[in-house]
Amino acid sequence: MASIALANLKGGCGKSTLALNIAAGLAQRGKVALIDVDPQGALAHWADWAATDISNLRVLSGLGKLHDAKTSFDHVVVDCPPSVDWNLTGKVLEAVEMVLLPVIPSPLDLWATSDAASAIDKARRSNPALKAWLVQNQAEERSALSGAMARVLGQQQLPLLNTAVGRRAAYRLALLEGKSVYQMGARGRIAVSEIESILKEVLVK
Amino acid sequence: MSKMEEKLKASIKPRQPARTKPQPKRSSPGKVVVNDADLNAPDIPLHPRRIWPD
Repeated sequence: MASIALANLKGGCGKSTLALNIAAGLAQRGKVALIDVDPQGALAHWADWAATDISNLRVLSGLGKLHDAKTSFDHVVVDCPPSVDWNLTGKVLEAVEMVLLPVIPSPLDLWATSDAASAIDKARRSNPALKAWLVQNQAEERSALSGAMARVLGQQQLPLLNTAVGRRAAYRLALLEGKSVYQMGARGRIAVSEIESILKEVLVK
Repeated sequence: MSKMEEKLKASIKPRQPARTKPQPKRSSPGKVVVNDADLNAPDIPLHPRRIWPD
């Protein structure tokens, strides 16, 4: 059983896209509830609109579903809101085993990590076993800024996953096709290897 | 360390200190309670010296 939240105080860092694909990765291993707690409801909307049917994966909406899902599914993935007050996200972090904080290679995202670290400290008062990692998202291999960001992120208080998720069309195309990257065939091959690499890191740590 | 890395590191804002619990408000001074005995006490005139010192 893994319960993973995707959270960040800052919007636009790719939480929902990563949440979907991590949930799809876990769905290769068992029954998964992907819970959309973000009031914007992007994933819930996506599931309705695309009438998606990914084997072993069910998209639910609202914080209230979290408690029951933990007992009736093998794995739970929660997409948190980009909340400054951290109220809703705080409640999620009290109930999950681990949290991933996606960071895109931009100074704005780097600056938001300090507040995120404080928020994780706060969450650990009620959930001391909470594991937390920063994960580079939309990284660009040949970009000097991406490289510098990775090195600086590696020196922050929160640990950084070794896996960096690249900026790839496959992630966005999959959404448009009502799929995860796991259903994209050869087009999603590299993206799948990135998600699998994340899962290997967090499920053994 | 590259200049870009140095600049990124220098740009990080310091972590906000953990919020401490709000201190309870200090109670405002209570109303002055006047004892009945005080109200019934005889008026004692001020000694003239207090008003017109020598």
